[in-house]
Amino acid sequence: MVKYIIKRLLLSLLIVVGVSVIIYVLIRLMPMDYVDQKFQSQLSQGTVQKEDIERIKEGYGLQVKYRDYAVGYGWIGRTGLKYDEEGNIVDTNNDKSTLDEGILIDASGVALSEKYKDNKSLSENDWVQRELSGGQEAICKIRSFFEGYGTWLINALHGDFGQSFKFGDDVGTIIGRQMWISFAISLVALVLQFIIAIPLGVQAATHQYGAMDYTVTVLAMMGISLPTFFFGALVLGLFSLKLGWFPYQGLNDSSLINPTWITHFLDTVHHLVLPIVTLVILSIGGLMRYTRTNMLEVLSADYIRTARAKGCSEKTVIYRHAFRNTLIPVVTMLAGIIPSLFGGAMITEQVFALPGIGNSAYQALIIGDVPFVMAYNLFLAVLSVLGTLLSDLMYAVVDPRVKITK
Amino acid sequence: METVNAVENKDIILDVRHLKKYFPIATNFFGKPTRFLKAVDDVSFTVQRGKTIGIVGESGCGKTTMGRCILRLHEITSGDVFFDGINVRELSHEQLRKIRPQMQIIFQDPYSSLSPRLPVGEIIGEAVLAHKLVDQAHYREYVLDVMHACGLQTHYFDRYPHEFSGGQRQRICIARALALKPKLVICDEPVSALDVSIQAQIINLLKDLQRDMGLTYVFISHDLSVVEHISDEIGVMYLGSMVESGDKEKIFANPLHPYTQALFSAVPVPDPNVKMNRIVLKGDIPSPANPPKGCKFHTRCNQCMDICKEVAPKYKEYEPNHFCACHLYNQD
Repeated sequence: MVKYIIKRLLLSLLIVVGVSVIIYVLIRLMPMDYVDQKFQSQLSQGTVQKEDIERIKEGYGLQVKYRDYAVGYGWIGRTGLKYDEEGNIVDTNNDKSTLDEGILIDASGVALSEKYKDNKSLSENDWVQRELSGGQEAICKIRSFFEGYGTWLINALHGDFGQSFKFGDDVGTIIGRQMWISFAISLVALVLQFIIAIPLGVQAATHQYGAMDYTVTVLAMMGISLPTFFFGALVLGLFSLKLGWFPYQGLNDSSLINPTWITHFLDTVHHLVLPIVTLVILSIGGLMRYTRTNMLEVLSADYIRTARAKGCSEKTVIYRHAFRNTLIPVVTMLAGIIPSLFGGAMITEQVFALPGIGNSAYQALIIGDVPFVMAYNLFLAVLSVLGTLLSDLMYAVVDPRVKITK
Repeated sequence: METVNAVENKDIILDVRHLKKYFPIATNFFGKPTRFLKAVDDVSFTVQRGKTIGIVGESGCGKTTMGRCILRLHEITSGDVFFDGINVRELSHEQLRKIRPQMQIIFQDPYSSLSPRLPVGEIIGEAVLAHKLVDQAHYREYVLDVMHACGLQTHYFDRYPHEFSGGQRQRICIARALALKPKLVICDEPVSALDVSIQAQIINLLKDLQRDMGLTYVFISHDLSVVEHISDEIGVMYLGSMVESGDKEKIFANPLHPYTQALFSAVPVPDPNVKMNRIVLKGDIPSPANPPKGCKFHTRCNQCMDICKEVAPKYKEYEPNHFCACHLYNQD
């Protein structure tokens, strides 16, 4: 058992690293980066120059300036070319064939290899020199995926996930703080979801094709089909704006001055009623249908007939014989539940303006906040891997036929 | 008048009268059933205490449905089932539950009829406790006794069904049924899922237990050699109806109904020199949703007459305790 868990955890490590590579590649493939978006309007108004943007980007670690490298460090990667302040090569002893580590581009983003492809006699060093002597300020070497990812990975292994571009704070700190808000909301919603959906599913199955079954099924289908943002807005519009029963955004009322902890708590609860109701109503449908289907399958099994023939009471038949076996597939759902428990409800938190982790992740994602998105997605990946492991272990607990030996 | 006598006769433990079970297969717009599958269509027979009746017939003829109807595992459409003088059809659910220990069933498939989540001891003993047949102090001892009687080793108590072979699982099923000290046991093809060597063990176990505990069996099977071995009486079913029934010896010596004759001719004889004189039935069994008019067997009968296609034959006694429904014999 312990051996199995250790083996699984080591495998998980591999999975997480793979996931982080994919996430990094995806983020870097986004057409616009954070700096471009942020300074778009200033750039068009002319208050910020293109060169400033390059410098800012450099500050965010999105790219490295060729020339500054030459000036500041004198060495470029492993090419071994050394430049003086004018950009002249001062040392050419090294092998030039390794120059393909990063792509050389000019300030407008055109690759130098494209620009000089007609002039076959020029070497890459000549390109650089021509660019510099032609008065080009910024010859940039875009950080290659490997370089950027490597830096990120090494920092991450040291526990440093970097500063969030948007929130300006340490990413680990932000996640650690906001996770618990999301966790509290999701946990309450989850418990309610289970308490409501499972008995409903059992009832629907035991009264198959009855009025109860149809009512529950129709409501469940509505719950599954309604999009969160639409239903959330509907709930907000009715109960918050029209009737005014509940506050319409945030976690606490800002007009609350020096509250005691009890009023503070009640205020929070008051704020969370609508988001939790939205979450629960939209999620019970799936679970209820799932329970119903599994329950129906089990109820038609031969051993249920055996239990009835034994003269067990109907309650015993349903809850002891049928429901126990229904639990097995429900346990698989644990794997999916754990990430959603800590990962926050992105859309719901957005609609109700809750300061949870899902909301932050949404904002970070649309603006290209690389460190935050990386850390958040990695966090989800770790949770998913752990959730799967946990549900595999739970199988052995709920189903005596499963034995974990390896 | 004969039916009234049957109830008063204390030797008769099970009296099935005009039992019908129709399953709705099509409904109209308002959900009212319009077409029925006549799984069991007017079956009557009686069983004496301590005896075994073998019910034979090909697949889909309603044997299993009839067995389940006797225990009311299916709701009965019409007809009556008297068990020990009690009309099973009229019992409320709670009364039915109370009487369950006295009438038990052994299912056909020992692989699917045991709950995978319960250990063997609990499968056998659960209902014993639920019906308070023994007190808590003697519970384990009692279950172990039953297991021992059914040829199960006592250390199996805490194991789960999936750890056993088919024969052992069927022994668990038998132990489960017998732990409730039943008077009547419906054996619904208890050996057809097992291989031949195990079949003999299980049949002999059932016979030993019958002798020791005075059980009455309704033994449902499509295997005539098994039925011949275990039964005192035999009932032959075709398409939901009983076509012939009576003493085993009489039926085997003198099968009256053409269907029974065809069935018996199909039993293999383990002697290569014997020339088999098989009656091969033409065609498939008709659908019980749309049974043929007149005698249900007329579509496949090799002695079919004109009257067979129009008039359903009466079920009559032709010699003492030997009933048959066929136009070949005097119907008056």
